[in-house]
Amino acid sequence: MAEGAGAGEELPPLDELGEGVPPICAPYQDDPEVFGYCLYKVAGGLPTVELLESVCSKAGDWEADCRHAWVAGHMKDPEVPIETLLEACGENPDCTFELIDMRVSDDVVEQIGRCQRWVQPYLDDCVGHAMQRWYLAKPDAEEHARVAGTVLAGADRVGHYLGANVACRGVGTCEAATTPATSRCETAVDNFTRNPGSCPSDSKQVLFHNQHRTAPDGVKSPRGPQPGAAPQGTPEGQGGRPRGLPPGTPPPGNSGG
Amino acid sequence: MSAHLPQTSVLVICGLIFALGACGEAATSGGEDGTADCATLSPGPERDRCLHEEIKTLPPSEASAVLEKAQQIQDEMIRGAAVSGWVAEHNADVPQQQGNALCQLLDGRDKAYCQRRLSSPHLQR
Repeated sequence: MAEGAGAGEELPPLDELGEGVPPICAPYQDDPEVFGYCLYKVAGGLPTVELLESVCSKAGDWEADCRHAWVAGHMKDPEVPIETLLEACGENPDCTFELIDMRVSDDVVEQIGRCQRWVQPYLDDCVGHAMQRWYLAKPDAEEHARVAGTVLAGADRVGHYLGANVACRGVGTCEAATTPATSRCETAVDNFTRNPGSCPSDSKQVLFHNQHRTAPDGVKSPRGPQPGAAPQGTPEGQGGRPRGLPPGTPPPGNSGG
Repeated sequence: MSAHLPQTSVLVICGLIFALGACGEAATSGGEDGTADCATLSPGPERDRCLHEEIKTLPPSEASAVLEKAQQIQDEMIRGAAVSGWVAEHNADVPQQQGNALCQLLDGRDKAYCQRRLSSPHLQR
């Protein structure tokens, strides 16, 4: 079974799906809300895009969640192209956010481009995650200059981590940054210089949310915070949001099945 | 046409209409706390659906009542739809502790997504 189907969400045999109604959901067909929820519950275990379309198209108000559940159940499968998953997400930016935060590009510039293209409503969060990963990789002066010299979306988060690299590690300068990020970089340098304790953590342990994210072959997935988790060292990550999953909480899409 | 009816007939008709209206209201909205209808039903699908409908009407400030009613729902799928749907609707306004208690009623990915709805900043805005 594909990962993602939780307890009580056993995938029915394909020949029993009939008109795209899993047997477990059939008793609820007269209640659109419960029926849609039921379809969403089984979606993570559906093996093909065709079944996703067949099942989730009947989920009504739960269709976006149904599609998201299918994507979450397949995003760690390297045989499923990211294009297929993006298409399956449809117009759900939370789905695309989780997806590209899982299938992380090694190049932060490309990753931020994906944020800009696919995760517009949550652009700053997405860029924050990308830049946090970049920072944790301890970029050298050359990499710093490359990123700083590229016009990137999310200048606030980009500038923040550039500034952290400058002030907390003595790498690079803010002058190298493109105009939108320069002032934010300089502000961050000022803040981190006055209060070094506020520098972003170097520990990858801060990315606990993704420790559970293991690829099907057992290889640890790309590190990075859970979509929506506040990057460390940012205003959000410094208590702006009191809520947070406790360490060990399974990330979305990885707790079922 | 009613102008030609005797006054007593009009009163009887009005009384009937009032009685029917009152009965109808009682059948759909229950008592003052909104629990009377479901509480009078025997445990089973009808009661589960009734509780689901009640939960949908509750505001974020009534998270404890949602928890209490959800725990009475026997059918896991109906309970999941009720809880998950309610949290999705009110995630930005549900107190964390009560929200987490609600999420504990769910399982698998749905449980994790429920917690995520309550904790992810980008979903809180």
